Amino acid sequence: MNAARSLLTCESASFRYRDAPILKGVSIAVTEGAFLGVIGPNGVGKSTLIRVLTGTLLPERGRVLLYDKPLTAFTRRAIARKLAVVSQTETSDFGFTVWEEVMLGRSPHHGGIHYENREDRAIVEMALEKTQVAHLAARRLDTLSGGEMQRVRIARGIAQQPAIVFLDEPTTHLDLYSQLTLMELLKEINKQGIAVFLVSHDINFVAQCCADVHLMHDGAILAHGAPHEVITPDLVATCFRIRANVSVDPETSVPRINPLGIL
Amino acid sequence: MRFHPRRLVGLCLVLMCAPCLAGTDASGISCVTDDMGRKVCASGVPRRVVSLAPSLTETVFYLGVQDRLVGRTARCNRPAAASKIPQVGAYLHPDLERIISLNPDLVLATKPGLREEIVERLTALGIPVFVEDCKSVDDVCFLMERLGRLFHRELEATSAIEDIQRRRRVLKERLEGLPRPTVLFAVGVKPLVVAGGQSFLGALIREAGGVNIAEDIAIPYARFSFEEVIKKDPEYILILDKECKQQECVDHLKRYPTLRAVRYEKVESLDADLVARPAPAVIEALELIAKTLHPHAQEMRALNR
Amino acid sequence: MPLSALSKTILSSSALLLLLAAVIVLSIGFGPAGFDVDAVLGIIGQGSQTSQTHTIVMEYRLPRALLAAVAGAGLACAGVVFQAVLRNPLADPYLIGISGGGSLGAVVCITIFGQSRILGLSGMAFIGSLIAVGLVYGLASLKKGAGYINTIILAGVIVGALMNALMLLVISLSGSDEMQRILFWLMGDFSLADYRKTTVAGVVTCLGWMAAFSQANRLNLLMVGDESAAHLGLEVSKIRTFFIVVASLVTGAIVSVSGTVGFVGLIVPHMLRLALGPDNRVLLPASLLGGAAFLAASDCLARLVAYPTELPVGVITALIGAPFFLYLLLRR
Repeated sequence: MNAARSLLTCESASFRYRDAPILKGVSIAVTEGAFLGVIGPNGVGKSTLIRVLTGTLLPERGRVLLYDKPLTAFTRRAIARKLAVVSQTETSDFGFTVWEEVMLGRSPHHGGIHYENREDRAIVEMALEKTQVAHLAARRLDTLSGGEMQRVRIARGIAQQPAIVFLDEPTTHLDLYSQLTLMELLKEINKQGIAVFLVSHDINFVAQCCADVHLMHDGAILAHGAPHEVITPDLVATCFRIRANVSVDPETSVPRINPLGIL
Repeated sequence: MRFHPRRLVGLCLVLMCAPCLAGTDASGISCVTDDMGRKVCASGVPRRVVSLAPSLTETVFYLGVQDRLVGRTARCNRPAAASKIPQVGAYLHPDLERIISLNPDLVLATKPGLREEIVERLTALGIPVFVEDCKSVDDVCFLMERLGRLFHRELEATSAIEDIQRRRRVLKERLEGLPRPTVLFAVGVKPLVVAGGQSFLGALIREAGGVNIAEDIAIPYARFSFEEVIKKDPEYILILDKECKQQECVDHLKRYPTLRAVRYEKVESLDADLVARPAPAVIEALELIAKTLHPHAQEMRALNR
Repeated sequence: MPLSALSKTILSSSALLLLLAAVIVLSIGFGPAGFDVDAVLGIIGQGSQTSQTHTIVMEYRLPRALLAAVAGAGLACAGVVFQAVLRNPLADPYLIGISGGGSLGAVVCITIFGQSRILGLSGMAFIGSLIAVGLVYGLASLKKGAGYINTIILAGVIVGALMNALMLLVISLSGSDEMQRILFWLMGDFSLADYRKTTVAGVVTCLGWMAAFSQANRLNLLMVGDESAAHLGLEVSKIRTFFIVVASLVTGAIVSVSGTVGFVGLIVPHMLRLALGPDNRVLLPASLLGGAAFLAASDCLARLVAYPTELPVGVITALIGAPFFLYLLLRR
């Protein structure tokens, strides 16, 4: 296997909020076509990590490189053409439709005033189809369920035609069915060549879809590798302060944890 | 409103007798009814009077009792001696505390713009308040008569009233048969606010031999449409000088060159201190307006005073 | 497939343009005695009317209708921008203290300076608005960080209250009997319209509108949230500052020539959004034309309803505004 090209590299990034250090020397690399998951308990800094990686926060030490160039050398628009972020966004009661919301994903490719052309329409339609929300195109956002809204956000991310899609705790508020559908969708997107960067506290979910798992503890990456290498009882205990059994599926090598109690 | 001269004199004589009817008793208490229908009494001549309107301050001076005046508003500027009297605040916003601290036994006030609460508070403290609401020259006469009674200056009051009535008669004679020009009396030009038929200024116009184009407006001082001014095209436009610096208002009117008042330069600015006050000098205001509206008529002023 | 944004823009703008034209024509022709066709034709040199009617139309009705249209256009556009930037469909151009500052400037001019030769009423009102916006910005920048929008609104309320307090102070200290004049200014007044005022306000409004429209897509982005907007490529604080400055300048200019006319900047964008959706590429042109038609029509009513006395135009917009809010309340 050829060493895949690194799209986004983070080198020893540190970040503090007010006086509390959050990231302490995090190093992580996202290669082309990667499917990467970062797990860790709440508050360890996973969301902050995404913000630093996408340039919305500047690390006080260390740096982030996009295509081997410092992130700070890019305009926000240029970054948005390469990196898309799907998170639990704030909602406002303005009444956008699904179609309009996904079309917003085309913004990084256009200037201050632009009416969508055929290409934009084709891309948005494709994104809607991939995320299976095409039938909701004319619906207002505030009429959607949690799972549907999630997929709309992903569709918007896809419409950006990014190299990497970041997802911040995507399984919150999703039932099992929606979670599995999401997994299928992410695998599908990844197959098309978009790298997926998933951040979650749901260990099993990450174990099932990510090829590369990073365990975050105390502001830094404690361990990384294949899921079964990282998700071990000892590491889980250190990171999450729980006692758990880990069973590994013999065929797929996907580990699964069964929490037993707290430490 | 046309009054026979004789009827006027008769009315004044009757009014002079009114003290007998109202009951001035031996201890010298005189009572009059003010324009709000309340009875205002003073025992003896009021010693400490506060005036809350420039017109009333003028009247007090005219009646010769200015030494009793202990308070006036900031706008009371006539006659010049009035400036020596302590102030109790702005014209329509007097300071209640200062009024009370002067310990008055009579307060004179004017109804337009007056806050009812001030009257109520003063009355509640036992201070008599006389409120005037003059809407015509006749009202001014009646006011003078009552104030004359209140201050025991009936002679001065009567002579003032007689003088006013005489000059009104002369004016009326001079105006007999003269054409009555159409007039717009603007108390403000930006925006346009005019004196309606029910206002004091409206009464002056009528008596000075003019036809107010805003005669039918019920509100005394109302916003008015320029469109109506253009349509009615008054021969004269009178402006109160206090409301705008004269040249500006005149310039503003020059935007409407079809107005004959503008074309023939019949836009006049009048001294608000003279014209807008229901005081004894109202007769001069009347004569001034009449002269303005009938510049070619003979001398409007009475030849002998 | 729903209508594309471009089609919506073209259709709605065309319809509103026709409406605006109709309103202007009606405003010019309607007098106390009804509609006079000759009055309208007189503008293009046709028809027969007296020179009196001609003066009424050219020197009174036409400049008034045009100024009302410009003011309505400016306020409605500013309303659209503020509602998007502050992410609140009930925001209003006066929310961040512009009207307070403008009123203070006007009152200071009326009571203290009389009519200043150099600046005049409009100039002082405009300077007042600028000072108010500057103060709001200064206050808001003291508290950096998240919740910037709430900070701005709060700062706007504070500055607005301060300006109002100062205004009342000036009025009471000056012992002014200019209350009527001040009141008419505060309620909005187009009776003193002239072509110069209209042109200046019109130019500012047009430039402001063009600046806002040229960034309409970015205005849409602002509505989804600061962080999402940043992830979609927006320099959030820069563009937000840009919009607030543009909208404030337009509002300040309008306030300085016509006083504080309420409700236009709130009702027009809101109604159009209910009908056309929240896309600002559609709303900005629609509000420009719709706001112009609305205020021109309101001013016509203000002029005629109590003829020959006139109502302040703010009374008409408020009488329309209150039931509108009631309707909104019941709708929820």
